[in-house]
Amino acid sequence: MVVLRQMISAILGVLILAGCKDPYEPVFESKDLEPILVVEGYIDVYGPSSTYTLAFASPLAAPEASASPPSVVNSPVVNAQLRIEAEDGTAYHSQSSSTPGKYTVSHPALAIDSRYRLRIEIGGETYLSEYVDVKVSPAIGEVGWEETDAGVSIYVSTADAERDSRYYRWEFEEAWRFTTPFVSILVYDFDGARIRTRSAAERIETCFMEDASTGIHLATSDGLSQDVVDRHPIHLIPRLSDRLGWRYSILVKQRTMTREAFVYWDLLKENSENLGNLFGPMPTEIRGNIAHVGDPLKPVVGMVEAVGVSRQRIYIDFLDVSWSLAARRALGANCSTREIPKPEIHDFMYYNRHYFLLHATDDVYFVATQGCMDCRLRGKLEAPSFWEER
Amino acid sequence: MTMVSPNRLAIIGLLVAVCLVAHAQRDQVAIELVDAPFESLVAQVERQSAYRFYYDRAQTDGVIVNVPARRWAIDELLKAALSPHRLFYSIDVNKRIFITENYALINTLPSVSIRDTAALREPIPLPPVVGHQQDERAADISIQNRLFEIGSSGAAQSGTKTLSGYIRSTLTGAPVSLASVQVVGHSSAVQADQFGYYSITIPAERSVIRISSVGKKATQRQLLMHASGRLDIQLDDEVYALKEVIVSAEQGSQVRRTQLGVERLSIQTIKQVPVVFGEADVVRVVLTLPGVQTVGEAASGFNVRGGATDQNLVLFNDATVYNPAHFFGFFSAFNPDAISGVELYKGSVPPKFGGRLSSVLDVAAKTGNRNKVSGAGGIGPLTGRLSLDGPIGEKTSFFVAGRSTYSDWLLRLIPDEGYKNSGASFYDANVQLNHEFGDKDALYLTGYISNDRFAFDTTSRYGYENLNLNLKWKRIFSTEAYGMVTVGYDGYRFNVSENLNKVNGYRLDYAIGQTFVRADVNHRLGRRHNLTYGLQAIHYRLTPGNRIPVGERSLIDPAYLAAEQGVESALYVSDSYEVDDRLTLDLGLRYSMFNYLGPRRVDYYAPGLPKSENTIVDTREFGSGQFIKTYHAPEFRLSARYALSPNSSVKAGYNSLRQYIHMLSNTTAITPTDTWKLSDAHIKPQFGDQASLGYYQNFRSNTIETSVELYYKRMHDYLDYKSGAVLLMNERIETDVIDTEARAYGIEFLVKKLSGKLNGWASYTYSRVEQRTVGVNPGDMINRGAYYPSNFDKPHNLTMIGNYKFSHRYSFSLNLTYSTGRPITLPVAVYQYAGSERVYYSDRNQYRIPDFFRADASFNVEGNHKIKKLAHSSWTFGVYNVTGRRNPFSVYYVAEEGRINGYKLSIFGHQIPFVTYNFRF
Repeated sequence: MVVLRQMISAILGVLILAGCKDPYEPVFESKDLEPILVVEGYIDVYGPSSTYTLAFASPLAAPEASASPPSVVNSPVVNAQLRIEAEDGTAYHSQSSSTPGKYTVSHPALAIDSRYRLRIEIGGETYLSEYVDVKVSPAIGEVGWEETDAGVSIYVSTADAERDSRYYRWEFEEAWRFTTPFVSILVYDFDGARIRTRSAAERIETCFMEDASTGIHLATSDGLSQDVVDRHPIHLIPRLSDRLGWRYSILVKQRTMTREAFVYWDLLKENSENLGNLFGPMPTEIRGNIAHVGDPLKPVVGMVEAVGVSRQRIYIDFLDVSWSLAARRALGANCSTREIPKPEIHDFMYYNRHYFLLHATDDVYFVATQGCMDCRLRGKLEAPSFWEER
Repeated sequence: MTMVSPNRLAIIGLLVAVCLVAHAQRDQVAIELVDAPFESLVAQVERQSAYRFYYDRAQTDGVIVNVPARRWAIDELLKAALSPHRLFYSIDVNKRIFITENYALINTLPSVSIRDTAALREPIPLPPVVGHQQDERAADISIQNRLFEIGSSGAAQSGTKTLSGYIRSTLTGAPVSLASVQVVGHSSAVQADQFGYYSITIPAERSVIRISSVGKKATQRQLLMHASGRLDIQLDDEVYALKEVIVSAEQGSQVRRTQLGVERLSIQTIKQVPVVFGEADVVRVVLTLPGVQTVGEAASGFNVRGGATDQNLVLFNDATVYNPAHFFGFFSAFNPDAISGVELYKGSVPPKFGGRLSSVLDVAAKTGNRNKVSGAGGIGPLTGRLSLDGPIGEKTSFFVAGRSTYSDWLLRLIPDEGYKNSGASFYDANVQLNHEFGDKDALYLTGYISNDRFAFDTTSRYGYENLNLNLKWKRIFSTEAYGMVTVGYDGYRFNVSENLNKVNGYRLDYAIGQTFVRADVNHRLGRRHNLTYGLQAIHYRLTPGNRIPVGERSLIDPAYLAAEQGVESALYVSDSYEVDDRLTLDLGLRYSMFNYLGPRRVDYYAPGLPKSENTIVDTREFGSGQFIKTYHAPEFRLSARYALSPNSSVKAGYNSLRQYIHMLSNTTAITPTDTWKLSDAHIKPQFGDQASLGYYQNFRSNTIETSVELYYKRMHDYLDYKSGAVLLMNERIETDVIDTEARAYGIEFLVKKLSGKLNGWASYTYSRVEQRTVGVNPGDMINRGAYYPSNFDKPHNLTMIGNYKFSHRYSFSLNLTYSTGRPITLPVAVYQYAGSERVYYSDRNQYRIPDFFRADASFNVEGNHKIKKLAHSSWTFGVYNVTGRRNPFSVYYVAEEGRINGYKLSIFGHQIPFVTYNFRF
C-alpha cells in the first residue's frame, strides 16, 4: 500500500514553491570506492535457459564518473562461473558467452515444487544465494489502455483465484512503426551523379523502433479481500509521441514474488526514483539474497528469483487514438523542403551531403534534410519478428 | 531599582511639593557651605535640629554642596542644596529626611486597599486614607515602602515563617504565572506557579521581598513577619518607556535556581522573534535555545540534547499535546495570543513530570482578565486570530481564543493542475475558565482543540486533530502547603483517505486517547525544606489503525488492528533542601510503573531467534483488563547548586527517565501519519539518563546572564526499523523493530540580556549524538552495529536573537542561526539495473549536507501608547531568510531518463517577506 504519496508530493509542492532545487556534487570518502558486485537476471523455470548479467558498480566518486555524466556505469565481470543448483543437488552450469558479463545457463523446464539457488564464482571468491521458492505468475488478466490528458496510459489488470500471488512486478517491451514527415521517391547516386527512382526495397520512410521498460513497476494486493490488481498503470505514452504515429505494440511480462523480494524491489525503486521527498524514508541499502561466502557483510546487489513469467501483447493503432493525442504531423514541425532548380542539383547535392532528394517537378527537385525522410536514423526497416499488422 | 520616566516625575514632584507645605515650614537651621561634601550638610543639620537623614551613600558620594550663609527653612535648604544634583528629598512626620536620586519618595499613604490586600491571620488595621490625588506610580512607590505587618505582634510565632499568596496583574486581575519572588539580600527565591500562587520562607522578621515577572514592573514589599501569613501582590504592566530598565522574571534566576538546563520564555520574548509568515511561534523560538535542534526548517518536531522527536513531552496547562503542529509543521499549534509563556526542561526534569526521555515543554495558557472584558487579535498572510477574555462576576474569569487559516491561495499558486482542487485548512481554539471559592479554593478549566485538514484533488483526504480538556482543583491548606488535583482527557487522531473511486480506495483511522488524574502537593517544611509530592495515573487507549473500504468499487478488506490499552502510573516525592545560604539540593525520586492491558492476543517468539511470523512459538489470549506485561522502575532526579557569590553559582545534576509510549517513524522528519505505540510484551520502555554540570554568572546587577552547561546522556531501547518496514497497519511491529541505543554529549554557552534597549541572547553549542543498533541479525544491523551520527547530530550551533528598541513605538529584531549540516546517507556507486541506473548508498548518515545559515529580520511598529485608547494595534514587517541563502534541507539523487542526478533541495530558499497586524482592546 502506497500511503500518502500524493499527499506528500502535494506538501512538497507547497514547500518547493518557496524552495529551490539545485544540482549537487558531494565529495566522497575513499572507502566508498570499493567495487560492488551487481547480479541481474532470474531463473526462468520454463527454460530452456536463464541469463544473468554480472558487473561491478562504478563508484560515483571515480574520476571518470564525475568528469563526465556516467552513461555506461557497469564494468562487466568476465571469467565468472555460474551454477543454478536445485535442492536435490542437480546443478546447471553456465556457458561462456560472447557478450562480456553475460552468462547463460541452459536447463530444461524446472520442477516448480523444488527450490533453487545461484552460485557465482569469480576468481576464487564465491557468492551464493539463498534457496528460493518458484513463483509462477498467473496469466495476465488484461493489458489495456486509456486516454488521459497527458497521453495514453497503459495499464495491467490481473487476478489470482488461488490468492497466492499478492506481489506483482511488470516489465515491458515496446515496438512501434513510424514514418518520416516526407517521403523520398528519388535516389541520388553520387557514383556517376545519377538521379533515379527509389525501388520498393529502397524505401526509407517506414521503420520500426523498439524499447524496453526502465522503471520498476510493482503492485500488491495486500490488504484486499481478493488477490486482484485493477488497472494498475505501468506506462504512459506522452501525447504526440511518435509511438502513437501509426501502430504501437507493447509486450507486458508479469512475474510474482515473495514478500521479501517485493520489499527488495520496492526499496530499490524508492531509493532511486522517489528520494528527495521530505517525508520519504531514509535511504538504506537493503540486502538481496546473495552473499559472499566468507564475508557475509560484503555488499552484493541482486535478488535471485525463480519465476514463471506470463506475457501479454497488445497493439494500439493510431486510428484508435484521439486525433489530439496521435502524433503523425508533429514530427514534421522542424522539417521543410527546398526547391533546387534542376541545373543546380548536382552542385547542391555535392556540397550538401545531409540533404536527400524527395521528388521532382519539371523545373525543380525537392530536397530535405536526411532526418526528415530517412527513418533508419532512428529505427530499423525490418519489422520485428512478432509484428502483426492490423 | 526601578526608575520612572521624566514626565511621571513631574507629577510626583508636584505631589511632593504640595504635601511638604503642610509640615516642613517651621524648622530653621543656620548654615553656610562652600564646596562641602554632602556629609557636611547632614552633620550640620542633624546637629542643629531633630531631623535625621536617610540616604544611600552611593548616590551622594562625590556630591559637593554650596549654600550661602543664612537661616534656612529646612525644605528650602534642601531644595537649594540638592537640586543641582538631581537629588530629591522628602520629609516625614517623624522628621526623617529621605534623600533619593531622580525621584522623591512618597512618605504618606495613599489608598492602599484597592491595590493590595493583606489577608492576615490577625488583620492589621489599615492606616487612614490620606486625601491625596491618586496616581498609580506614586501609589506603587508608596506601597513598595510601606511596611506590611503579617500576623500580630501580640501573637508572634517563633521560628521560620512562610508567606504565600497570589500575584496578579493590576490591570487585568489575571494571575501572573511564573513570576519570581525573592527575599532581598538572601538566596531564597521561589517561582509562582502557573496560577500566580507563591509560597516563600521568610528568614528574618524584617524582610523585603522582590517580585518580578516579564512584561511587568518589578515591585517590592517591606515585611514585618510576626507569623506566617498571606499577601496578595499586584503587578503593573510594563508600559514601554525609553530609559526604563525592564526587570524580568528571568533575571538572575538561572544563578539561583537549583535545576540545570531550564529555559524560560515569556510570550513577549517569543513575539519579538521574527518567524516565517510572521506568526509568533512557540516551537520556532524554542528551536533557537541552546541544545535544541531540528532536522530542517519545515520539519515539525524538535530534538533536545540528542533526543528523538518523540521524547519531548509537550504540555499545555497539563494537557499532553501529541501533535503540536499545524500544516505539517509550518506553524506551531499554539495560538500566540492564548499563551503566557513556556518553560523548557532539557536537563533537570522535575519529578512531577515523566513519561518522556528528553525534555518537557511546558506551555502555560493565558488566563482571563478579572477586571474588564478585553480582546486581542491578529491578521497575517496565512492566518487570522481573535481572543476575548474577561470576568464573569467577581470570582470567575474566562478566556476564549480561536485561530484559523485561509491558506488555500498558497496551493493555488502551484503551477500544477493537481492542486486546483486541493485545499488545506486548520483551526485551533482555546477556552480557559477560572473560578475561585473563597480564599482557599480555585477551579481551573482548560480546553483546547486543534484541527488540520488537507484535500488533494478529489481523491485523497487527510486530517488530524488534538483535543484536550482538563479540570484542576487547587486548594490552599495553609501558608505552608497547597495541593492540586487535576483530571483530564487528551486525544489525538488522524485519518487518511486515498484512491477514492478505485478498487483500493480506503480510509484509515488512527486515534490515541488518554485519561489522566494527578494530585500534586507543595509543602514547605521549615525554612530549609520545600517538599513536593504527588501521584498520577494515565490510562491510554490507542486505536492503532482501522482501514475501511471507501467508494463503490473498493475491494479493500476492512482491517481493524486490536486496540491497545495501558496504564502508566507514578508516585513522586522531591525535597528542595537549602543546606545553607550557598548550597541547595533538589532530591527527587519518581517511581513509575506501566501495565500493558488486555484484551489482546499476544504472540511469543522463540527466544534467541529473530522475531518473525516463522518463529512464533506461543500465542496467548488475554482478557479485558488483564495485565499482559508490567514494567516498573525508579527514576532519580537530583541536582545541587552551590552559590559562589550572589552573582554566580555552580550546579550539578543527574536525571533518569523512562518512556512507555513510542512514536513509530522511519523518516527523517515527523510525518503526518506517524503513529504512537505503547510498550508491550516485546517493546521495552525507553530508558535514558543524563548527568550535567553547569556554571552560571550574572553581570551588571543581573541584567546579563551567562552560563555554561555540560552534559552526557545515554538512551537505551529506542526504536529503529528494518529496511522496508511498513509501520502503518502493521500487526507485528515487533518483527520490524531494531533495538537502538544512543549516547549524546555537549557543551552549551549562553549569554542573555533581557532588559534594556538592546536585548536578546546568543548561544553556542557543541554537541554530538550517535546511535547504534544492538541485538539483531548482522544483516539487519545498520552500519554493522557501529555507532553512527543520528539524523539531528549537528555539532556546531550558533544562534543569536536580538531586539533593539528605538523608541516606545519602534523596534527591530534580528535572528541569526548557523549550524553544521545534518548527516545524510549519500549514494556512493551507480549501476545499471532493471533497465535504469540505480544507486548504492553509503553507510547510514556518513555524510553531511552543507552548513546551515539563516538571518531573519523584522520591524515592529506599535500604535501610540495612550493607555485609555480604545484599541491598541501594532504592525510587524519582516523578511525571513534575509540573505536568501539556499540552505539545503536534503540532498538526493534521482534517476532521470536513465541518468543519476544529484540535487540539493532547499525550503524557503529565498527571502520571504511578511506583514502582520495585531490588535488588542
